[in-house]
Amino acid sequence: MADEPLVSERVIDQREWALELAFSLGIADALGEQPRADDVFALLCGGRADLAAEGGQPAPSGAPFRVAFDAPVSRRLGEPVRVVANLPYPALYALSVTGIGAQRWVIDGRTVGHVDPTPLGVAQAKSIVPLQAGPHELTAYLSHGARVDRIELAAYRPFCVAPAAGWEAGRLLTFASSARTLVAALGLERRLPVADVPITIEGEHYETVSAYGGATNRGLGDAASGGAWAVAVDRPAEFSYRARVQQPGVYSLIARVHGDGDELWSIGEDYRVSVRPTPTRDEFAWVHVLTLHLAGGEHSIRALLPSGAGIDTLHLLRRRARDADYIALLEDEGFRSGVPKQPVTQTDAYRSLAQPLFAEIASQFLSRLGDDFQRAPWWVRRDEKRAIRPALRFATK
Amino acid sequence: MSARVIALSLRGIAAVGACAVLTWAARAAAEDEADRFHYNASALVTLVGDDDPYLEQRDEGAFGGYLAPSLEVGYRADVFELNADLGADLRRYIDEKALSEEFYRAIVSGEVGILPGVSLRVMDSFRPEAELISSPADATRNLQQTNRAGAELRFWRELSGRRELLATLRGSHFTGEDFNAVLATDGSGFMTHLDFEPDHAEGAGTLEFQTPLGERNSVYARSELLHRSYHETEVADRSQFTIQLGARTRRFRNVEIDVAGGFGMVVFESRDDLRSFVGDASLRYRLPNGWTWRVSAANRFVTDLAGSTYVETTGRMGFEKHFGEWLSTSIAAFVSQLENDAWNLPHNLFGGAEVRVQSRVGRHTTVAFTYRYWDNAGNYALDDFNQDRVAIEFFYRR
Repeated sequence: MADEPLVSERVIDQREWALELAFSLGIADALGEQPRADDVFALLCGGRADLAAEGGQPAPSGAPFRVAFDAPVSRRLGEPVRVVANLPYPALYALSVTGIGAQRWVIDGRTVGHVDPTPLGVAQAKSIVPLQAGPHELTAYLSHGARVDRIELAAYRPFCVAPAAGWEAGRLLTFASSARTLVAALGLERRLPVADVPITIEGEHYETVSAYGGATNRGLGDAASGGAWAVAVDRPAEFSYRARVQQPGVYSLIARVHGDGDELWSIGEDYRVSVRPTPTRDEFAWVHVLTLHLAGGEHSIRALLPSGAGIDTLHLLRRRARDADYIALLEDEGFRSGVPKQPVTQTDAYRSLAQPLFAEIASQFLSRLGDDFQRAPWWVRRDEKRAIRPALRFATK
Repeated sequence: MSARVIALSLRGIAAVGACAVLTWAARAAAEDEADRFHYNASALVTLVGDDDPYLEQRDEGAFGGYLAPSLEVGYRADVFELNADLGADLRRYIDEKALSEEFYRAIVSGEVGILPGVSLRVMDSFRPEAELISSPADATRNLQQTNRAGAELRFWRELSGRRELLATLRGSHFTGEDFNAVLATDGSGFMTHLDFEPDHAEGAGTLEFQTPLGERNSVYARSELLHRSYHETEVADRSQFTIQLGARTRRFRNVEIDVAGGFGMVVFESRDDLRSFVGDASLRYRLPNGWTWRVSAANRFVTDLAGSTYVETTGRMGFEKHFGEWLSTSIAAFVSQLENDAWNLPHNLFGGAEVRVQSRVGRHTTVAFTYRYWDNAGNYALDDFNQDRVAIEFFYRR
């Protein structure tokens, strides 16, 4: 018979769970002493406290908060760039800078990283920072010859933790909601099983392209699908694509790319991530761009690539995302779970947060978030390649 | 394994069958309720090298291999839950046939919600249990096949201000294989009882009250009353009472503290009472670089399979480090003392240390290497030994 001392058999509600997640992930400092439920939910989902459920999946509605500044011009030589951003809600924020040259950025005295927008003209800082609502000072220390043209601070929508039907303060937490939020918080959605054949777009079939971008049939060490690929020639170039999603759900955007250096990818207006593919000299490499919830309909995908880089193919892989899939995934990772609709007690919640996997990821949560949040083990990458391979049309060199 | 234990375990096996049939039937009947059904199959293969497998200070080492297949099935409905955990542990040693043994596990449980906050749980647990507290709990020579059948009634209520009250009543019947038991005797040390039957009946009740103190802090009071009666001898029959006050906090991220202390008393039918302070203290601290360390201490009553009761004082500490998700290592050490001054028994001192490196090598597969040192010393020389043991484990679960 179980004879453990009582922790608590009280069933916890969604606000309480959201607060525990924020606390355990180390981002609760962005909340005040007595945080409102909406603030906690906003912090956990790129600034959205209200999520509209669509097809059983949370689909964030509306664009994330974004504030942009042109760099102050009346600045003495060597003086740091300083702007103040007034934020409407607590969230994880990403800093993007347009300009040139190496520069160190600090928000409220905390270094968020060194950025160098030179290769692309724009760069996103690696560190994603939790910030309270209210004014924040952004400061840049520029190296010799560096310049800042534009600064943007945006709620980081790729990080979105929410139950299927969105957050609701008084609603009891179920094992289904607990599993969905844990998987999202740990960045494990990429490990959900692949549902069906991917949507594949040839790189050279872009909808629009900026100057210096185009299609090429230049041969590399391994063949391009369809015999051609998109390439940024001599300068950075931006390619845009349009993907039609029939079924709303969780999708992974995986690209077969060539080149070296940071790339800036975005899906719609909400999701923007900086990725760095494995450098390749004379071949293509696979890169996982993002796993996210997509509503049904058309979505635009844009990729800003550095000079010499290119795209062979893009694949949108739909993943099975029923409650049972999230629960099974967590059980595979060693978490204890229950019936999807069964409420979660405080003891169950604490047990989940004390799991070695959660503790490991949570301890380095912020440093991983902007870097390799969706890093996946070899068997996940193997399953993805197996799903993608039939969709590729290899051409002879 | 005695015929008596086998006969008793048949109930459990029958219940397992019933449970499996019920869960499969439930699944077939309501495909949309498949989420309520769960099963996991696993297998653990262990290669062992042990320089003292007999736990007797012999100069005889042995190499062996264990195979432990396991199957867990369960069905969770809104108001009831059924679970079965079936497994075997087949142990073979090279050139040491006396050590080769098989153990089996059939744990079947059912829980039903009778009223809001009131639940009844019944369980039959057929599994190996450690005979001596002062020897490793997984050592082949320290395991006996046992069966415990029991029921537990739980009452839980949330009071105003997020206070909680939990009361439980449980009763069980324990059956074990006959073995040559070393029994503590009042004032004269120990005696060997040939073919001891550890069968006993037990009844217990607990009462717990918890109240929060701000965010992530709580204080609690806990008391337990237990009575155990052995079939073969009245010497070990006892009533046991403990009461503790405790506090726990998770106020600081990465730090968990739990401290409890109180008083306990064991009243024997025919011997002097045993009284002691009882308490636990534990601290877990997770460093930002991925290291976790734990330190804990406890003072409590413990009873071995033969019914001998001691006050155990234990200190433990351990470190754990994860290198990403796929590799982890841990180092743990403990030292324990068993004493029963009320009966003038010699103190038994033992301790150990373990290093473990574990790696996940696939979606369902884990490999681990473990080295353990165990030393049993103290004033009671009869069970003294020291043991070095290395093990390589391959674990598959899906």
